[in-house]
Amino acid sequence: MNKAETFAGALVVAIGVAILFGSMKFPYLLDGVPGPGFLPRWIAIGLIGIGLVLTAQGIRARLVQQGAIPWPSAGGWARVGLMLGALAVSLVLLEWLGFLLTTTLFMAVVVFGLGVRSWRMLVSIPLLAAIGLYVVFAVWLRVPLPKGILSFLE
Amino acid sequence: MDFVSNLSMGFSIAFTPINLVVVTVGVVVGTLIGALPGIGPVAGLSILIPLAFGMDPTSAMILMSGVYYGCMYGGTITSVLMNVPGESSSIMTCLDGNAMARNGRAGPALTIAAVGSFIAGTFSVVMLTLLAPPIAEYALKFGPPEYFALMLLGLSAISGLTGESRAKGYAMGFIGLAIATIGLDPIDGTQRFTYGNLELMDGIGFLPIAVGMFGLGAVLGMIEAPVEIQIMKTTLREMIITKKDLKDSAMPIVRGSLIGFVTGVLPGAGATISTFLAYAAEKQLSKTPELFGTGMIEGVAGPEAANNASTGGAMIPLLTLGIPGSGTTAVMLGVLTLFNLQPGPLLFSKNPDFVWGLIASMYIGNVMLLVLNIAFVPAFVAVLRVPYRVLAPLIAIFCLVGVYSVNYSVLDLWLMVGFGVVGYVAVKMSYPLAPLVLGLVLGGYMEVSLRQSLKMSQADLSIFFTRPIAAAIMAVVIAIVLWPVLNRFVFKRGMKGLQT
Repeated sequence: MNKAETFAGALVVAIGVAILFGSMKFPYLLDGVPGPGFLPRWIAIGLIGIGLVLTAQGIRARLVQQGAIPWPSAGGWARVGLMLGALAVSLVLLEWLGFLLTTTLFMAVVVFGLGVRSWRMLVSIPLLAAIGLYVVFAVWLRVPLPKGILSFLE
Repeated sequence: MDFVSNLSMGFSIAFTPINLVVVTVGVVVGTLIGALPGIGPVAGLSILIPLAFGMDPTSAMILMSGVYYGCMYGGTITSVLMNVPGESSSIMTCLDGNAMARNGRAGPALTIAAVGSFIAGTFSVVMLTLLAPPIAEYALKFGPPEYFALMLLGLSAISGLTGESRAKGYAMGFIGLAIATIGLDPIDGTQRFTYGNLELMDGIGFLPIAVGMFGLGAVLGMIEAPVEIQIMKTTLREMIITKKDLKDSAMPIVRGSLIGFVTGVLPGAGATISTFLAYAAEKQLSKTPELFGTGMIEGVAGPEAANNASTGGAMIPLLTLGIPGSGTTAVMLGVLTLFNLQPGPLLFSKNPDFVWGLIASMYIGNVMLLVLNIAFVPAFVAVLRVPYRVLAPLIAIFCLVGVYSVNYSVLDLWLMVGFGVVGYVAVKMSYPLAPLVLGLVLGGYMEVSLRQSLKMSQADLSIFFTRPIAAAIMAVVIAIVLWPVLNRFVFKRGMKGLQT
């Protein structure tokens, strides 16, 4: 049995079941022709069917030729985790700190976390990135990027 | 001579200063994205959607398609000089391209790839120019049943024919369709799966999903297992090719162009498969097949022509029918929908300036790429030296600001990060991403045409099998879906029967 494959198959079944129950609320037929519940119902049936096949393939892993899943090394997980963590923190801070500070901090933290130790690069890259993005999006495309605590600069 | 006047109108649009700038940026960025290992055309296009969104639709599509065919040129550079494919359609080029580089002939490999790409790319744009208008005109006859059948064909081909596992492909296709049902019902406006959330009424946007899965997913893949960059040196003087090189490559380029174009038009096939076919064809036809892999210029010219020719081919079903045949064209369709432009036969009559401006720009872009990929290879190589430690966070933050800039929605950003994780894990487990995006982009249209068809027939499913065109397409769909079953039970048993 391949745990990850079995879990993924079961997840597909679960999504299908959830959609099936959700779609019960909408009429399958409306005035004799398919209504808003029609397609979701069939999508759910499709997902459940395929999910069962995938689950079976996961449980009886020897029946299907599948390569081992190339999960990352410990260092790889750490880098992926760092990136996702930094992104999540940036999203929380974005509207409060504002765009310029958030992007600068994000870049500094991630570039440092990925192993850059030269001070010159740790300062110049985040600043250049933030300014570059500001020029493209705020100046050229006129996107009102969040100013956050720097809004007094206006 | 309708197409002459159309094309000259197109050139008048493509030659405006802004569009010339846009096509240049597109092909340069495309070459870079193609050259960078770990980021292919889909990821590149997805990352650039927010930029395109700030332009007018014609410029936006000129940018997107420039990146698309630019990628096909750029992938060669990494294959030849690093023996690492810049993207999946350059895998075959590694074999003989890198062998040529090790024999001290990196320059000719790059030059013949650029020349072959140019010829093939231009050939496919010529075919697009000639074939698209009649196909679009023919498709005007299509009603909802034909469209539903066509979309089903696109979706089942990409789900069932590509990737390692059919079941995984279909699962992703269904999930894409399921996400597309979130929001207001396209026909009667019923709220589905919104749970009273106002932001969900508009549905889950294509943008955060595409940028997350392809863009952020690629970033996560890049930092997880960084590629060691070791680049061979070339100089401009070495780029010159001999007469013999040209003669050896002429027929491979012609064959590669044809193979690539046809593969590009077919749904589910696309650039990568075209390169495998072209390489196999050259090896089959060669008098010295045993020398392939040791630096045969034919092994570079054929596949490199094929992947470029596939791009023009892939634009035909996208523009004339509104049916993308690959993840990359699905992303382009998604971009068009963001602009409220519905690709399909009406696009040619309603928005001729858009269509012909785009097609004309592809001629210009290919000329630019020829020059860029011969004269500026060292400049592209310099960019390859930017360490992933800097590049990966840069792309990530670009995705973040880009997604924010379209809807100013932090929810979109969370979706992007979430789908980034989904995309990363899915790729790890060989769940293909293209069917999901295709299902998501086509879902709304599919539901409308399905329900319109069944309204026409009073809920009688036979409408898909009694109209000749719809029936023919449905037959292909059924063949694709049932193929593995037929293959296993009918053909193999038949073979066994013959053997015993």
